[in-house]
Amino acid sequence: MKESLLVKLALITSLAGILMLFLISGHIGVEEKPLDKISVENLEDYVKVNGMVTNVIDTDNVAILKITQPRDIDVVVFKNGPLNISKGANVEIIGKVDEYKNKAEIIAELIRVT
Amino acid sequence: MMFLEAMAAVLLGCFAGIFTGLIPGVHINLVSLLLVSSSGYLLGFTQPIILGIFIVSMAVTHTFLDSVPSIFLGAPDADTALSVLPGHRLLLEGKGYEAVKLTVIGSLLSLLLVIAIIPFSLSFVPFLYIHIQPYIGWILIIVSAFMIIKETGWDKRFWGFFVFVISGVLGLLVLTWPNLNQPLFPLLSGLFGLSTLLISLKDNVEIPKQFITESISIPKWKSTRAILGATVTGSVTGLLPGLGSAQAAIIAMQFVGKLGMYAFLVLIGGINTVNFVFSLVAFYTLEKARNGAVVAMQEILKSIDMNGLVMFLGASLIAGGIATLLTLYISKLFSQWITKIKYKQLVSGVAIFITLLVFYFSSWYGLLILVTSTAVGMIPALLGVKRSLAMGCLILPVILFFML
Repeated sequence: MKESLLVKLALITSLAGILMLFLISGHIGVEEKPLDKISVENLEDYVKVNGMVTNVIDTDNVAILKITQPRDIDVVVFKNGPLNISKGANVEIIGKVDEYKNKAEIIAELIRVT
Repeated sequence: MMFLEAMAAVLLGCFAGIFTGLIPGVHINLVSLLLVSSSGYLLGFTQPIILGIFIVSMAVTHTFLDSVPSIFLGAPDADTALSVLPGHRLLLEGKGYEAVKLTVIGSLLSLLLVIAIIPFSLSFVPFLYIHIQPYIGWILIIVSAFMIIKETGWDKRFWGFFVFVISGVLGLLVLTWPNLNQPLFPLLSGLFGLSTLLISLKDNVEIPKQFITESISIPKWKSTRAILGATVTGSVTGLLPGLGSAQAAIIAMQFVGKLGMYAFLVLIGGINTVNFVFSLVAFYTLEKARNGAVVAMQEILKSIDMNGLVMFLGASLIAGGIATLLTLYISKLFSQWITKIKYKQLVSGVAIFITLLVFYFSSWYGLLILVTSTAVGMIPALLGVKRSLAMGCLILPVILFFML
């Protein structure tokens, strides 16, 4: 196979891949779940939740936010700096489902005030 | 936004793949592990699937580029060990670039073929997995016996058997060595890399001027058999535990018949890429990891759905295209650079470089393994038996894994 043909094939392959990524990227993302659908059966799953912060326990390294939708769930945040989220804020959280005392909780990896 | 993040991950993955592919001993598993350990931080900025795309792109790029150090320096990893000898022979004919190009052709065409057949294979992969797995040990025993019997004369068959067993025992010792980092690096560098270089030093060879030519042509039936062989064996071994590109190459060599040196390089390149890409299918259909990179992806993603698989295959195509251009370019640079150094200096430099890397990764034990495996690797060349029988170092442990 000539190098020029190989180069053309490589370019076509790359373009086909880009097209595939472009078409599928609109369907990809962390699944948004209502809080009443999150249980210990979803352990280790990545989820996206929206809700209102109804309680904040803030310590030096960790904060625990109670998110209500109206069902509530605890969200654990390992802090790198101060947490500027207070009661009443609406937030979007992406994180991993974990279990604590037989109850599902979320270990937050991304928090956004909405 | 998601598309742009994915594209950035592909490009960064390709960039990382250049380093893991070109630097002997720096494997994608190492970078993947680093990524897992920092994923808690990285997932604050991006999604798990993006980290997966980075790993896939790095791994695919790696499978294209790792033929460069294997052919030009005689410093292979497990996936390219069998390409050292034909690659080195072409290097001594001034065709190092063409040797690399043959592996690239194999990688790219097999990548396209395997991606084309993946949609049809998804439904029977679990069936295949259940029915082949119990017989893997027996398949490898038959293939190994066949390789030994194919030596000409009882004398060479005996020495072939001896090389297979002694390499296997060495492999068993090394792979079960407690607390040894990167055990395969000293083992394979000695068996296939340093031993080849030292023997060529004994024969007083000189690396001739390298030509960026297109003089090699392979009959279509040979290249078709190489691509088909690579796709089938790379896929099956990508599905099953304990088997990698090296075992796939040994199996393929028995089934595709005599290919000759050129098509053999196409086969090796293809197997290497297909083996990784099909391990993504094992991840999707069986939720099982078949190599270090997919283990890392499993840690981050747990499992993938159809969208995730399509995303990874798309990333593989982009990375494959980019890696083709990169590998051709980099091997041209190597072709220009390698003749500026005297062969003895080059071999000494590579030997020192490999020794230092072995010491860095695997300490004193690694050096002991390197010396031993270099000695074992010289036996087949000195006795005139097939060098591939030294692959007993990986095949014997796998046989025992399945049979015991």
